[in-house]
Amino acid sequence: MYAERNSNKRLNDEDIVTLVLAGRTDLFALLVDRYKDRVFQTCMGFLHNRQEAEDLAQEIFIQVYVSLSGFKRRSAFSTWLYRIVINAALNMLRKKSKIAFVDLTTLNSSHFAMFKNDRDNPEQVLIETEDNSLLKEALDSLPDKQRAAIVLSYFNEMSQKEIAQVLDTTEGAVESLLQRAKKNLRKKLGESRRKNEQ
Amino acid sequence: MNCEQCRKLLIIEGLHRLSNQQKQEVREHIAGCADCAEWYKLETRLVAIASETANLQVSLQFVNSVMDRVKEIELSAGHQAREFNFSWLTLLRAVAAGLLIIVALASGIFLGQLTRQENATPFELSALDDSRLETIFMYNDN
Repeated sequence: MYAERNSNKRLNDEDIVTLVLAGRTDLFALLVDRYKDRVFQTCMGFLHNRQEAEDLAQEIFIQVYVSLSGFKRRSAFSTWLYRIVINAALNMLRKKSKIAFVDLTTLNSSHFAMFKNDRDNPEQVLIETEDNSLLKEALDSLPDKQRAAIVLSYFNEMSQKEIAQVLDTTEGAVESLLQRAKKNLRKKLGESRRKNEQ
Repeated sequence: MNCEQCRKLLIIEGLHRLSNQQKQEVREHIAGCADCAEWYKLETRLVAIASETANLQVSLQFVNSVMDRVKEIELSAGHQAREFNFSWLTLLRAVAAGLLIIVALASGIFLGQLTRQENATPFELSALDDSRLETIFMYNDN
């Protein structure tokens, strides 16, 4: 049993997909285990809310399982998976017509950890938290592709080549997406700051 | 480092991808350049919100929850398949019953025809009229 578990862990994604499609549905757990945190973190990049991100991640894995036979192996499994993640996250946001704001429920443990650790100035922490919430709002208002490029680059630490594969575009186009996204972010943050000062 | 080089590193590459050497050069440049300093600030904030989630993990039951739902899907798919087979089986039964009826009817008709042939009136000379009898006799005489 232990030996089988170990040998299963050595299987690559594409082999697991083959076995799952052949009836070993239990092996799908390996794929979920491999990608659960990365998928969750990507969802967090879009939703900024732990519970919503986890629910969406679960829905994504179910969607992946149901459409597994549609994986044509033209790209790596992870690329195909991230395409589903991006589409699902953007669809969810469209459905919710989400107006992003940061309330207490979105302040996760890391915000409070700042109080405990190296920052002993609560005022500074609040300013930074507010700054971050403004940045999240600005991120939420970006066009879909620009937002996806930023999330994949910063939340998933993907290279421009990997982002290009997921978004099915060229590296040059990703470069341009990131450039435009950052210009938009800076513009929106400037506007927010001016509004706050008034 | 000039502004163009600095912005290329910050905007296109991103602070999180720079080497320590590059970060140092950027810091030296922004000390005397307010506009590049704004780009640097944006980068540090992007890196900060991304790092908020970097160590976050899904709940411990996550994999089990997904797999429970996978099992439900499998069960429901199996049930639907059984229902599908059942309906095919019913159709098959109906076709078989239909065929049996057709065979039974065909045999009935065939047997009926046989019986009618057996009960048919045998050839009788009395049934022949005179002209035809004459023809037969003439033929026999010759």
